[in-house]
Amino acid sequence: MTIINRLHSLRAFLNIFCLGLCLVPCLVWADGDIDSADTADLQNAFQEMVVTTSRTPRPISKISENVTVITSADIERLNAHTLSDVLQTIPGIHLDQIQSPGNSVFFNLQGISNRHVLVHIDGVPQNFISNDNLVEPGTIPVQMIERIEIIKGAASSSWGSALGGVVNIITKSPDPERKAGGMVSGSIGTRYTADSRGEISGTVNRLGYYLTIGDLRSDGLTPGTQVRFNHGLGKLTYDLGTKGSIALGFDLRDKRVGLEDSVAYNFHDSSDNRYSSAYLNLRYSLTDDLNLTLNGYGGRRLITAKWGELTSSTLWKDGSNREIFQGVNMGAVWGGSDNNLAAGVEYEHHDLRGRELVFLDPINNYDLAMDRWSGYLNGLLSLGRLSILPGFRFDHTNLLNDSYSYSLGLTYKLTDNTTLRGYAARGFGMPLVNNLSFLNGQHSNQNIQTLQAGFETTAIPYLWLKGTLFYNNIWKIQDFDTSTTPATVTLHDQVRQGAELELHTTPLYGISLTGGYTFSDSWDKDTKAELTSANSGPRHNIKLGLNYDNTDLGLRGTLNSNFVKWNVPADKNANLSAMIWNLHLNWKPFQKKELAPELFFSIHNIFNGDQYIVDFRPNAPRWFEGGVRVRF
Amino acid sequence: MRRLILLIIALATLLPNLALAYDVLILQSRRDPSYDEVLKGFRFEQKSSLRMLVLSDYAEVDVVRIVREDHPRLILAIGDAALKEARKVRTTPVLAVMTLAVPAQTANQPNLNGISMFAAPEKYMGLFRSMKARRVGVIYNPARSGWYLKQARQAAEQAGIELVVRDVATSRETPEKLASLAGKVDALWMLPDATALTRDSAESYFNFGQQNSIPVISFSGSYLSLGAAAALEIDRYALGRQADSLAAQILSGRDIEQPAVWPSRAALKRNSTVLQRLGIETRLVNIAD
Repeated sequence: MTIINRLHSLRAFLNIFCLGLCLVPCLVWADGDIDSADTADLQNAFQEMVVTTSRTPRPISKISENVTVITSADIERLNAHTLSDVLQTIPGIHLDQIQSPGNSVFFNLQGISNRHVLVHIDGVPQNFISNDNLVEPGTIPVQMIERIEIIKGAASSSWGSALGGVVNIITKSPDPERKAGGMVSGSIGTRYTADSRGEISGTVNRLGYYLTIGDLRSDGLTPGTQVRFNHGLGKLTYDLGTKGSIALGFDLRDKRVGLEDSVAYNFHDSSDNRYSSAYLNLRYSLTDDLNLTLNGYGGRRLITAKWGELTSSTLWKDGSNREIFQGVNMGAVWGGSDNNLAAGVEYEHHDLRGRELVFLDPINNYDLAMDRWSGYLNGLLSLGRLSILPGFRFDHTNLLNDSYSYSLGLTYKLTDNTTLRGYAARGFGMPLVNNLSFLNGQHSNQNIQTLQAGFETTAIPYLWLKGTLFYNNIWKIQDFDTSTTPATVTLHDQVRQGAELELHTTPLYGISLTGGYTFSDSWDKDTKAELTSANSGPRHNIKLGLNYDNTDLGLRGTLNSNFVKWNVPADKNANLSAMIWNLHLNWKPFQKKELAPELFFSIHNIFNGDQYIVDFRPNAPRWFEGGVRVRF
Repeated sequence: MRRLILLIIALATLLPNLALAYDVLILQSRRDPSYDEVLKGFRFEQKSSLRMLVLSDYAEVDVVRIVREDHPRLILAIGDAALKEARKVRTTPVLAVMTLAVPAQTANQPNLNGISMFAAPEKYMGLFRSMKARRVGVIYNPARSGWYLKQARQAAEQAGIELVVRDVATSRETPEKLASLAGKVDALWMLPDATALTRDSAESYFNFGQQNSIPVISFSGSYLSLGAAAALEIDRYALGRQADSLAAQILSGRDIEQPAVWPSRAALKRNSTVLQRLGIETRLVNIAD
């Protein structure tokens, strides 16, 4: 596509977007008077949901970044198995292929690879540094998730290496109301795809506990994509009353998967993953206005991958990457939810190891020790309806250049129903930390300048609407050429810009709609060429959802879909012709009875469509699953 | 899979046996952090055995049937919706918290008691005196908060404070009634009155305070960020502990037919930026008489 065409389509979209933005102020008085509020609403000053995507929990109207929050209830109605199933429903995020549940899969966020998206589970970073800094969402089960908070766009002034954004996963807290309660569930589907889970939770005096275990398995919905995945997560909490709390948690995951069997190209690919980590977290209030947090964590990650001929036992690659990590961070927040200052320091140590047994090349055989020191200062100043959010962070590592990140966010509460947002930031993403970079002499971080502007409104009756324009100037981003011997890495400057619109309606006769559209335009600044699927996300991505809730019948249903248009090189033999539709139903037939079972059923890829970017990794065809869950 | 089925059958068979008799049925309107704080206080000493029901988790809850079958000795209703359901029960004692309907509704039903969501008016009078406010404006709906105004007037008289009162029947009247207080008051007292104060009318309180350079005194710290100069906020954790103590008394035979009580602890929260702008010294603002 020529530059002119690209600019033309962007301009058309911007025109529509700006028209929508102009209409918002006209609609702000449409809301009716509320004459009788709930006592809790009065006490809370009608304030809205608080999220923790910044260093201090803040109401949504004081978040200047583009943030999306997913709750455990949203996850449950999707009958989701892993984080992959959830991320695929979020506007701005697209997974390269959905095969068997639990499969290895990667995602991009507004066109930026998940290598540059920081993922946390309860404050423990999940990016596997010695495995290209990647996080595989297929290795993160969902049963333990209370909520997922996603920042779209650079968030380095708070979180460090987060050029593309942050996925912050918060796990369930112990049930504060009972000494013991829980859930068991089991499902089975096509190709013996079965997911068995259980969780137990409760609080005895001040001591709370939460434990979940699960087993996900499949014989593979596409050739060679079998999955065996066992996982367990637990936490103990001790309540210090009004002073704070202590939490001790662990996370264990063991997964064996096949990535693909390709008859056409005569190869197969498989990997084993083992993750274990633990953390200790202390939250303590020194005074009403001064809160301290201390978090220590450590763990081990291991992935082994084999790639070889399908018709013989010949292996072309037999590699492993291991990482042993420890970290500690300490932070203080001074002030309330409207004016505050957060400061903190972080330290991480990583022992990184790479081994490749077939080719003993130095690029894939290395031992490195990496130390990271960071300090940050983030603030919030509220001046009436205006909130100003400055941020600064310094990151130092022994292997890479130092990095300074800063940001300035603004939110303006135009009315009680409409908030305007602006955000400017400079951030960075850690480059590949293995011998490939260092042998090529690359020690620099990958940098980003980002600009965002948007709005969020409920001014139109029955509709919640959020729109964001984004512009990202990225430089020194790594591009890999593995066709050379040895492989080489080169640095490029790129621009990624676009717009995003999210909406949902309030239920009417139990029916509500959700939708999201993301337009992303990415090009290389030197060649002016549009980036391909190897370096950017889809140009157009549409997510739609139709929800149905009938509380009298105990019935919930979701029909959702995903459409994608991507610039894929012709030699990949991509097929993106279809919109993929999925149906998820949940029915609790005897809901008034305790221990009533809830039945659930899903049809994935109802119309058996194709949506993949490389022909040897097709998406899963239509498949079915059903199961039951019982809460006690 | 066979193991899973066996596990489900085993749990389904065994778990009903774990449903033991209990003393207190807790009805909570919905899942809300403010209710959790109250519960935390209530459960701190865990003197009684409990069963918990969050109403928003169910399409319909037949509280009368549950009470008939389980025979709890007391119902703790947390929030408006919980009180609405609990009022259907006529024999078992009901203790209501986190609802403005206490004491108006509890006065009409012999098995109902509760803790008010209004701090004692004397505490507010101490606060007004410390701020040297002699004339205090109040907007209220007599049908909702008339009982409180009656007591507030007595407390004001004793403290030598004049309450300049305006009543409203709908929230649309609030801005107009506020305007009528211009030049006549030294402070504005924001009551938790769901007619006078709504999402839409809240802003007019602070606009009025700003335009007339007078402090707005609220009942919740959440309003400080909107422009309130100070707030007397009920400590929810202490409220929970107070409810626990009342529950223990009722369970040990205290007569439920008692007047509703004031919350035991209300903390003063100040907005030093607003106080400074109004020329009021923050350290002088307190609730001591």
